[in-house]
Formats: sequence, C-alpha cells, structure tokens
Amino acid sequence: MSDVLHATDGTRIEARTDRGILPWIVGVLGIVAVALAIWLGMLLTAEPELGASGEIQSLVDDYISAAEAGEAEGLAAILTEDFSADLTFDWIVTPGYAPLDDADTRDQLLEEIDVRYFDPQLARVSRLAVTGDGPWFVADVEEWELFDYRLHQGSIYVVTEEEGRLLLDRKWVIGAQLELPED
Amino acid sequence: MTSVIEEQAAADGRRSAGGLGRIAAFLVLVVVVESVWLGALLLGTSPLAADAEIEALVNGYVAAFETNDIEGLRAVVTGDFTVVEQFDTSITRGWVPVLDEIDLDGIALMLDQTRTTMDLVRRSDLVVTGEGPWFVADVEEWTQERRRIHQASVYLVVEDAGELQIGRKWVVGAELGRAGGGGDA
Repeated sequence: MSDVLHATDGTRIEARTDRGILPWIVGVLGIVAVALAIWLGMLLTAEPELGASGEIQSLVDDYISAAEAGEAEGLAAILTEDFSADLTFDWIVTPGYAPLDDADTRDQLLEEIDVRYFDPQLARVSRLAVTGDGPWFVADVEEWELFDYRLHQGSIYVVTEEEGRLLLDRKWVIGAQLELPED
Repeated sequence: MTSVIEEQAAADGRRSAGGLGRIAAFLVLVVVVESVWLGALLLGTSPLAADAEIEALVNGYVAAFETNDIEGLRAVVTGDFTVVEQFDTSITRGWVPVLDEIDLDGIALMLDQTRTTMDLVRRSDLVVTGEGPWFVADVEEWTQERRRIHQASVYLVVEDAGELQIGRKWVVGAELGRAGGGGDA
C-alpha cells in the first residue's frame, strides 16, 4: 500500500507506508468484534426456554428465604388462604418414600415456621423451570442442611394469580435425608 | 523540497500504521474478551444441572411415554416403579387435584387404551440433586388432541446393580385449555 502525493512543482511522489495488510486485519477484526458482540447480546437478553419470569422467581425466592429465616409474616403474605404443602420424604428413621398422611395447611405451616421446630439452612438451589399460563407449575431442586443432615429434594410449586397478585397455592416436596459427610 | 515531502509522507505513513496497529491491538483484545465470555455462556452448565447419564435416562422415559412404548418404559424404570399424579383436569374443572398412583401395568393399560398419543411440545432443562438417590426436576408442556397439558415433574433416580433406573415419578399439572385456541377447555 502507498500514498501518492504531489509536490508544489507537480512532481508525483509515491510514499510507501508501513501499513501493509494492517487495514485489512483491522477491518476483519472489527467485523468479528461486532458479530461476537451481537451474538453475546442475543444470548444475554434471550428469555430462557421455560425459565422463570422475574416475578415468579422472586415469589419462590421469597418463599425459600422466609422458610429459611423463620419469617412467618413474610411467608403469610405470599400464600393463598388454601395453600397446602405435601411432603414425601425418605427419612433416616422412617425409610421409604411415604407421603405424610395429611398435607400441611397454611396455618400449620406458618405455625411450624413461627415456632422454629427446625432450623434448616439452604445450601444450594437450582434455577427454576416454569410452565403454564395461570396457574403456573414451577420445578426446582434444593439442598438443605438440618442439624447433622443434608436434605436433597425436588420441589414443585403451584403459582396462581389472585386480584392481580401472584401467590403460592400449593407445594410438593419429594426428597431424602442423608447424613453429612464427616470432615 | 521533494525529499522533505517524501520524508513527511513517510512519517505520516508510519504514524498512520502505528494508529492502525493500536486499533488492531484493541480489537484483538475485544475479540478475545468476547470469545471467552461467549465460551463461558455456551459451555457453562447451571448449578445442579443433570449429568449426561441421568439426562439420558429421563429423556428415555419421556420419549418412550410419548410414543406409547411400554417396553421402552420398562427398560428405564425399576420393577416397583410408580407414578403419583395430581392433576387439575377438564373433568374436575378447577383446582381440585386428582390423586392417582399408577404402577407400570397401570401405565401400560392406560397407554393401550389411549386412542390418541400425547405430543411433547416443550420441556425445560433437567435439574438434579442428590448422590444416590437423585432427585430430578423439570417442567413439560404436552398436547393431546386439542388440549394443552402443563406439568412439573420430579423423578426419583436410583442405582440398582450398577445401573441407573427411575424408581418413582411425581407429576403435578393441569389441562389449561385448547392448543392454539386460547381459553380454558
């Protein structure tokens, strides 16, 4: 590549530059950078397939946080009056996946949370998957720690809309109690 | 005079090349950062995502169910496998769960009597927790004739003689309306 200049006396001067293929490289890099940026933007802004919307994610997050912190009032604000929780668990003392005879009603759950029979701590939770357009069915898996045990569980939440507000209507928990590994 | 202009031109050329070089270096940096970020997004797995063996097992179950393939189901479940269902159906009208527990023979009978197959429309990624047994969760959207069925599932996966099998399945869902038509059934 060269630049052509003309002196005042009309002499044609061809000045070779050191650019060579550099402009081409810059051009290609520019195109690649823009293409990657567009791809990144699409990935970052795309709605996940059957992923939770922000509102449903917040609702379930609030439920889990309130359950972990023992905040009965916070929990009461996001449950329907008819809320019930079904628990099918393989406990160490009662092996087998037997469901509890009766589901916890809203009041029973709030009382258990309030008096802190248990003090479970959330160790890990997966992202949520959601389907439906009212009611919505939400699935996740969670790991909790309770005393010297780990609880692994899959959970299903039913979310309904009442007077423009999303509320939790039912919850199913299926899981098992395992001993914590010794350090 | 000419030589001065030639030197000036050469100097301009070098400055221009230097500027392009800096732009090229910056673009290389941008491309590298974007590539690393993209790689992390594309290759990264979410916390508690299912590993390949568990994913293949549950996918096998769903595929066999969709095609009414009872032998395919038998191949991936334990001998005492049961499904626990709680559904809000167009018959019950409203959120009145129907509690049902079916073993594999019951599923075979149901699939045999079903005149129309169910078609899987959409399904979420699987998430899993546990170290044996494992608890696997997903959500699924099905159609059957003109009905849409939305459901969340939890699969219990156990290891038997070194082989992973599905020991139980819990399904909670509802018929939400007509496929493509909107409104409740």
